[in-house]
Amino acid sequence: MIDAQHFEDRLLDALTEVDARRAGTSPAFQHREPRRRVGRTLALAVAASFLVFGTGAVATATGLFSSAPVAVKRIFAGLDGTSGSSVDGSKAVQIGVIDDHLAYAAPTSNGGFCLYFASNPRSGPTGTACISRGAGASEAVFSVLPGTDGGVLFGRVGEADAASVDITFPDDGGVLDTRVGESGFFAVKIPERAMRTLMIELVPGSKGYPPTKDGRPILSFDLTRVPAISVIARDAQGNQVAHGVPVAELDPVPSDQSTPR
Amino acid sequence: MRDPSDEDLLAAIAAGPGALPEFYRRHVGRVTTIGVKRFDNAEDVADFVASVFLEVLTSAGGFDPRRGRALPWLYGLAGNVATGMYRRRSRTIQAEQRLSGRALLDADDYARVEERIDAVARLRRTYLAMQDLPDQDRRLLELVAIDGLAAAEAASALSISPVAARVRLTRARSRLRALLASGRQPGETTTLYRVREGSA
Repeated sequence: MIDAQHFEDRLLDALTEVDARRAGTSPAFQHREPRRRVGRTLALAVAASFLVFGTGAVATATGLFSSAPVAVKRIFAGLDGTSGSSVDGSKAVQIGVIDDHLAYAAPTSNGGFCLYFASNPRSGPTGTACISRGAGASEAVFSVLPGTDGGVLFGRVGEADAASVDITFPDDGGVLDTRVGESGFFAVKIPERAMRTLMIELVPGSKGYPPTKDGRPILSFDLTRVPAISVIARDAQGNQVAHGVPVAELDPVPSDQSTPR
Repeated sequence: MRDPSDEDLLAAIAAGPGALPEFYRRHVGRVTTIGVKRFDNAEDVADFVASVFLEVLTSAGGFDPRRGRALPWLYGLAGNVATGMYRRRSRTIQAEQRLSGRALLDADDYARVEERIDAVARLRRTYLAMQDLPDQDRRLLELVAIDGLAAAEAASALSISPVAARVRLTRARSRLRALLASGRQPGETTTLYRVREGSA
């Protein structure tokens, strides 16, 4: 006789334990008042970031750089970094809210770090990405995680005095200014206009690309454009303290490869 | 005194511990059904169910009752979790082991879940074929064709208008037919990326 509830009961016990442990542990679980959303406007970037197209718009900072909740630390603990490194989930911190996605970062044993963007059923990027390279004293390593309807630029500054980073996109794609947070992490949602500068057009129906209605081209993220992004880290007085180092080699991985590098 | 609605429970989950078990009891069957339509082995289904409810814990604060009901929200969240699991597997990045659902399975569970997996094999093949569609079309088509949501419910889950949903559904079905007609194996053209160290 099959006990139809065994797995479900055990899972409920485990979830109840996780639920109970989060009491007062992190603002990530505190109820956030729903905010108004105007169309597809991407309202909140990390920290006090603002997009400069002639005039600036200031975003809001909420709940930044607090310790990540237990569930998120477990995610990091279950990840491998790159090049055989391990991820220290115990040091994971929330680094912001990007397009309604809570974003977290955790260091790896080789000086790099991993990002985790919590899922959100509405839209935008989600998932994990790791950079195995540490940031030198005068460096700001960065990369781009492309998403469904946009992308996220994220990175880490090695200079302790860094307070903000200026991000300039190629082809007049705009300039972003975002705050550097705890442990030098930074991340920001890439606006649509800037994201377009990182994309190429593919011909529908050719080389296996699906056809599109009315034959419009398919836009695809072009990793070779990432080094064209300029990132400069500045201290609180506005002096440059680190230069950007793109970590932008997105490598197609054979689907039959069974283990990560 | 009425029982709390699903929307009430999500607000309570976001506010603190205690409300998750009731939400879980109401929806674990539904979430398992979503899982067996997407994964072909009991272990992945178990991991999926565990991950979905952990995501509920993490994401309940983002639920806005003015933008839709709890159930479509849950379907949307579950769809994202499934997509994440597929992509991580494709990219050969190790699966996130937040809470290992598979470790909670016993022999009886395997048999029971596998029966359900076998019962929806055809739907799962369709689901696999959808993985080559553009993300937004795919997410919408999954909710309607795989999970059985009405177009309006799926639109609510994805925060798009019902009119836009109908347009996208038409486009998605057309693209899916084209993909199936091209004879490619499901997932064959999926772009697989991972970030690795580069040069300055």
